[in-house]
Amino acid sequence: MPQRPVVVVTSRQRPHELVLLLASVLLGLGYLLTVPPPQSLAAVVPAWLVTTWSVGLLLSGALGLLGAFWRGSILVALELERAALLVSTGALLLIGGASFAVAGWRALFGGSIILAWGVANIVRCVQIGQDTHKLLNP
Amino acid sequence: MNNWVSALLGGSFGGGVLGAIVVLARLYANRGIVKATTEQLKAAAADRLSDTAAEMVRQIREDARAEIARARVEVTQARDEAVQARQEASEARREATEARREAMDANREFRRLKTAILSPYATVERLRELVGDPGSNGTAAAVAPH
Repeated sequence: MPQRPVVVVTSRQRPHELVLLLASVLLGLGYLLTVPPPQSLAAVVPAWLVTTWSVGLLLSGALGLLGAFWRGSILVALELERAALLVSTGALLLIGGASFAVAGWRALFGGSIILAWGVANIVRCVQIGQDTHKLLNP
Repeated sequence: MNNWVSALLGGSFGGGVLGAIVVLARLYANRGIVKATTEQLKAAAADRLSDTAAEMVRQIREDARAEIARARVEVTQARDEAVQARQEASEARREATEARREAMDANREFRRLKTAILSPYATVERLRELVGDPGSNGTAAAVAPH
């Protein structure tokens, strides 16, 4: 077997990401089961999209946690995480954009945090893309 | 609310979901490559680790050899020092025996001289003979021994 360099991936466990993924699971479950949807979101998009958004939150959180704790192939773990972060980014753009659309500048703080979370997800997706590229093309 | 806002937000969400589907589909389609790459990565890591372990063993063996050689030198030095110490002790014992013998000789000579000096038959000529002085008038040679 030909020699190939060992690629060390050192940044798999990130507390902010893990906590927010867990929060996504809980929020998704909550909005699907009992909690009424955010007013801004309900005002902007149809009910079916709100439900889909809740499912997206739940799935992205569960998929992200699964990827974070995956003990098999590192490539599978990273790709699961990337897929989860992409869904999460879409969900965050939806709720963040709805907040600004409904409340305008009054949504600056909450909306900015939500959008920043989405931007961080995109940055992490780019990181994962670079890592997987290095792993597949040493 | 404008429809285009709804469309934009729904589109962004849909884009995210679509991206995730693409990622998962590509992962599934490339599962063979992923599996092979994972095995290669594991093999490379194990190989590198075994190289490291072998290097560690070699280093430990070299250290042990150096330590043994150093210990041997120290044992040889200690043995030489012990031989030298034994020789010095033997020399000291021999010198002590010699000193005791010389002291006994000196004591015997002293007793002989004392006896001769204190003898009621002691004469000047005899005493001169004892100390090896022939005398100034040449009469010592004529002194008859006891």
